[in-house]
Amino acid sequence: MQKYAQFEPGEVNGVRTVYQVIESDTDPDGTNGEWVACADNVGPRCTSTDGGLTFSPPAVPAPVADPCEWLIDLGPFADRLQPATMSIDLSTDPKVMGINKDLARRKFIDLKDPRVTLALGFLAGEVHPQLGTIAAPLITLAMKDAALNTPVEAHENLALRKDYFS
Amino acid sequence: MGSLSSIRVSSSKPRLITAYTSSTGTYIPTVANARCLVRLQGGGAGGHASGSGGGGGAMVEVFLRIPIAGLAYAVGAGGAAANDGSNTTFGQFTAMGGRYDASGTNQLMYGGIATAMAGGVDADSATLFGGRGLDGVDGGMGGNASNAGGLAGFPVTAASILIVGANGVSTHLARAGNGQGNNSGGNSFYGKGGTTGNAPAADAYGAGGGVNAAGRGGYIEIWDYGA
Repeated sequence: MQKYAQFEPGEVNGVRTVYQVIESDTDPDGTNGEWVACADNVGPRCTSTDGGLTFSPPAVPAPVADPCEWLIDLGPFADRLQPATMSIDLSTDPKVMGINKDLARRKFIDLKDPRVTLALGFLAGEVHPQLGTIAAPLITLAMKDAALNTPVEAHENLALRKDYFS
Repeated sequence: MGSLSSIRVSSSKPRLITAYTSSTGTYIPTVANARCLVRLQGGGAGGHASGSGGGGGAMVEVFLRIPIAGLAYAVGAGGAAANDGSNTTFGQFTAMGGRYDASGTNQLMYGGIATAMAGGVDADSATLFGGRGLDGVDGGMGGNASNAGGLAGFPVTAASILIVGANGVSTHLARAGNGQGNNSGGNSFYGKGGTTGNAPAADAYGAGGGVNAAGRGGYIEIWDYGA
């Protein structure tokens, strides 16, 4: 049997989209609309710019962006800085205390927020534009990179997803 | 599924049963405004070239009176490898074909959906809304390298079934496959999905194809009960 395609009504920028494909022993053109003979690999959502002489496969839809991809709950964020978390919490350096207070007042941490990057950079010994340089780094650069660039797993942002993205 | 007892018919047996397995045309009823049970089966999707089986098409069932002028129909074709199954149409009714997902090589291809709800779901609550759809059965999802194709009625990739008991304890039941092996196509109401590399059986209307194989075409069955 031969496959026949029927287009959706109208066209967009000269492109017509296949709505339905049937198989038939005889040419059904004119029966319940116009039908165009097509190759076996033509299916719904295929497109044509020449009235059905040739067809292109459907466009691959772009993946839906996850707004929480790089957002992490406060507790799991602190866990990422282990074993330095306690040292950071107990530090009497007013600059470290300021960073701690700034992070703690938030509902969750955005790992791609440049302020978070600067804060961890300061703890790792990098120069902070407002805070300068820490006297003795509390984390390593490797720890900073791992904390900021390790993909967030489902158990690390359960709370923020429920509270703010549901 | 719709209940036949909800419609009074003059006889318990249909006057005529008509089946369409291909092409397009017009169904003329036995009498004007004949009461008819119609089952529409969407075409099954073809499998991915290397990654997954195709989804089975949905089956929708309607009970309606068909005017003497008849209603137009078109039986959706099964998708070749890497193609959706086509919708099957009868008058204003449509059964969705199985779906093929080109965005990845290890996806579970979705089955055609007879009806759907939408809304937000999280670990312990769900807010769902939606109208009541047509009676019928969703197509089963296509399988992948780690899973067999889905049963009819399971069009999406739920890895397990969650049951929350009265005391809040939840139980997970492993999702049941269709027994056709990994990378098989999804089932339809009418038959099992094809095994990996194979199309479904000839009478498995609307079932999805295995990896790199075509899905089976759709089907229309009309039970005409007359006046």
